[in-house]
Amino acid sequence: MGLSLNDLCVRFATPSGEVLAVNHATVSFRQEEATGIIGETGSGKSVLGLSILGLLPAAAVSGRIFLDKRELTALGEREMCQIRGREIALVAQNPGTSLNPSLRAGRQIEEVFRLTGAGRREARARTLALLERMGFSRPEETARRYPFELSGGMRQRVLTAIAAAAQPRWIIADEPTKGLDAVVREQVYDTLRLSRREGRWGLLVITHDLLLARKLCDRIVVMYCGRVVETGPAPALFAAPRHPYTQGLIASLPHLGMKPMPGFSPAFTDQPSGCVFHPRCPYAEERCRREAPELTAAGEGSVCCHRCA
Amino acid sequence: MGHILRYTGKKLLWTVPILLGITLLAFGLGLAARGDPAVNRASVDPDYVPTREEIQALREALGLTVPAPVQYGRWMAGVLRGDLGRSLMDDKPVLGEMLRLLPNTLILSGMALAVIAAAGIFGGVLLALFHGRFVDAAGRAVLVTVMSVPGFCLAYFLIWLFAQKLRVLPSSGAEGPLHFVLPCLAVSAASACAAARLLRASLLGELGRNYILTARAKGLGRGRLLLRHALRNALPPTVTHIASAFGGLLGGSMITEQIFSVPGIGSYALAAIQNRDYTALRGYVLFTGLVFVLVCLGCDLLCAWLNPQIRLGE
Amino acid sequence: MKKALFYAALAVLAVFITAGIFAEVLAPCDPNAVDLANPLAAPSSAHWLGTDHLGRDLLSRLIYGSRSSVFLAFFATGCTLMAGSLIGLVSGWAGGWLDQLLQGVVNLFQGIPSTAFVAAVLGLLGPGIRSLLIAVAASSWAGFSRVVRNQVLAVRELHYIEGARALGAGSFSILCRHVLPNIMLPLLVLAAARVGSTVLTVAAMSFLGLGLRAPAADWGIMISDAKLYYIKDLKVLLAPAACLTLFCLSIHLIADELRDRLDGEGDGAHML
Repeated sequence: MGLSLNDLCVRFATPSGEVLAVNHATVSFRQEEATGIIGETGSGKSVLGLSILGLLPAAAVSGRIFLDKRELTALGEREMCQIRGREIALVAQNPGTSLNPSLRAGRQIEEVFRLTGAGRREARARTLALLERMGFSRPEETARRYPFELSGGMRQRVLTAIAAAAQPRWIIADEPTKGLDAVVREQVYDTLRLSRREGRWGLLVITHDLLLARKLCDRIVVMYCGRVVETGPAPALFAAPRHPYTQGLIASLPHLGMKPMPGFSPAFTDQPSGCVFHPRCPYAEERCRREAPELTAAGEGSVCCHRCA
Repeated sequence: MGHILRYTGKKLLWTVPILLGITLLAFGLGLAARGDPAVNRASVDPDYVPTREEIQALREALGLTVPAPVQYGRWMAGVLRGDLGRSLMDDKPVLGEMLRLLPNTLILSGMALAVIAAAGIFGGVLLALFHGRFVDAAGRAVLVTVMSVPGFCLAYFLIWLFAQKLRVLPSSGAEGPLHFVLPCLAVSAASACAAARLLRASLLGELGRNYILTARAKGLGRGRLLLRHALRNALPPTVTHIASAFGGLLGGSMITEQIFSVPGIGSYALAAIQNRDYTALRGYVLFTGLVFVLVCLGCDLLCAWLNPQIRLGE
Repeated sequence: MKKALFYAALAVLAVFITAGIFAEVLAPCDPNAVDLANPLAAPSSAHWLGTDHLGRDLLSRLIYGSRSSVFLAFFATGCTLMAGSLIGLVSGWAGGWLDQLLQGVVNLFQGIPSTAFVAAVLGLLGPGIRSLLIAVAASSWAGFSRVVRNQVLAVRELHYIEGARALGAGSFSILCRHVLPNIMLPLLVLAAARVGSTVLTVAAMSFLGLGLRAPAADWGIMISDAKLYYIKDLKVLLAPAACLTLFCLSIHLIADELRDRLDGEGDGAHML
């Protein structure tokens, strides 16, 4: 049970050729856990989130996505509209631009209630109640505000309220802390934790913010160049990372010496042979250059590295 | 509510220098006129050759002997009293004549404006909805072609088709609503197509924005996505375009009213131009300018209503 | 597909321009040779498109007409572009009260309905090519001026201009090196669109009897001539109207392509 991806690929055509933004990802998420998908910018994690919601052009996505027993990739646009918001909701990245600038915040939340069949008055009342639970001390006033009249942290909470409104079974939070300062990041963290208490939904946090992932998540999925390179329970993964990339990420954390990883992610159009990480890997051997490793079970998770197989 | 009042006030204040500029322009046009208005006035009867004294007397009577600034001052004093002077063609008060002819022009321009707005918005939304499909491609081809047909050619084709061949609509006069159908179509077609194209482009631009992703993730269908979320943000450029198209309608009425024999402000202005009647022409320029400034003001207010950031921002 | 249309449009434009330049060579007959015995003749080997109400060869008149209409449109747009850009340059570079004043004037001129204004100016100056040029330039310089001024202001803000100043480059050389390359494309887009509207304005004025005067071979005059006879014989109207439409259509397609190159087509189509 839960949300599972089976051999998911997302292809985009770019001027310099076709690009595999998500490369044969097979992974599943459990609803009772908060899962963090971490990786550098451009590792394909946001695209992964959008593909679950069916928000990418259908032609770009191949592979299968299951919500419990239902195959989402087999559903039409109309049926996906029923899934979005009610079963899987999104907290979009970049709160500054993710709210409609010309609609009042309250309207944008009410809309979700209206979609689930609530009347105008009921939607209004439930919106105010929800805003209050989201930590707004004067929900009436917040509901009347336009997005540009709200602070970054408030917008993030409104976005979370939109996602939480229909009591979905899954919430996907896409880069909830990207571009925010430390204070607001803390608020976002509180909001997401609050939202966990609010309902029993599964949470998928897509982030490059390792600290957020560690504080919030029970399970971690590490992505690199569109591939899932390691999965595992958060405490174990942070304590003893298996994949060299995960080790590098964790070593680059400020309080662990802030040791930057050498090299850069390769361009999607020009990927190395064998294991994609080998040019940056301190343990790379001849085999890594030749042969791509498979994701194999390791402990309570899995890892995609020849050394650990 | 306070915000919208303050915004309106600010915009109203801005129209004052513009109106002043229009009076200067209207007056300047008269000064730049070729030939002596007094001679023109005196030679209304082609068989009579006026004497030099008669012309001089007329010149004084028309107030042409004083320096230009004084003339402007006198003219402006009249304008503020609601007196635009008397026409050099027939000696009738310019304002009275224009007010008499105004309803036809207003009905025609108003109808055309409604057609442009309705067809433009409907067409733009429709094309955006069918983006990338045959309807979109075919629709755009039709739009760009119709946009390229000169209004006065279209007018003749409409007359040829509907009045001559099909005999379903009258081709001239202004007796009833049916008489306005063809002129209205002729003047609005190109602008409506341009509006639809513009709206389609802005809608597609809006659809790439992040808030659309949020809205889609709520489970909104494409219709609601377009109409409730994208349209409102995409409209302001189209509204501005439609407002400036209204200016084109006022100017274009000169041609349309002539083709369809509609007695209106446009035909009055054309006659004034042909007779070098600069008093009437000044009145016309001033009047059109005023109407247009009002329409632009309305457009600004509409945009402010659509976009709260304009309304609430400084 | 879009590319093909763009090149087709360029080809059409080239045909019109060639026809205008080599009118004497290309036209089968004298455009003003009246043949009263042969009015409104059907197309034949002598007159490929037939004749008008005075028996003049339609095709020859169209060819000579493209000289007057197309060249006037390009020339008028060129003049407008020069005048508008110059005012915009001065306005943006000088700044201060002069800029404020000029902006006020620009706003005024952008607001004025152009057909009405052109007709009024023409009426007062009298018909003719010189009056047409003045009227067109006076009615549409403001758009160019605004583009240039905004670009000058934007470039002035850039740091490398500060650097160039510090290195002792004069205002003029800064303008030539940094401003001109930046405004070429936006100006070209605007100018392309203007050529289309100018050819229509000129035709409309000739049609009203305010622009060029009969018997000149000009598309606007041909339409004006046609208004009494088109019921009997649609081709006298159809021929010049088709030329005008085709010309404007190709201008629109070219302007569209240039604009797409300028700002890229609105993305987000896949969101539907």
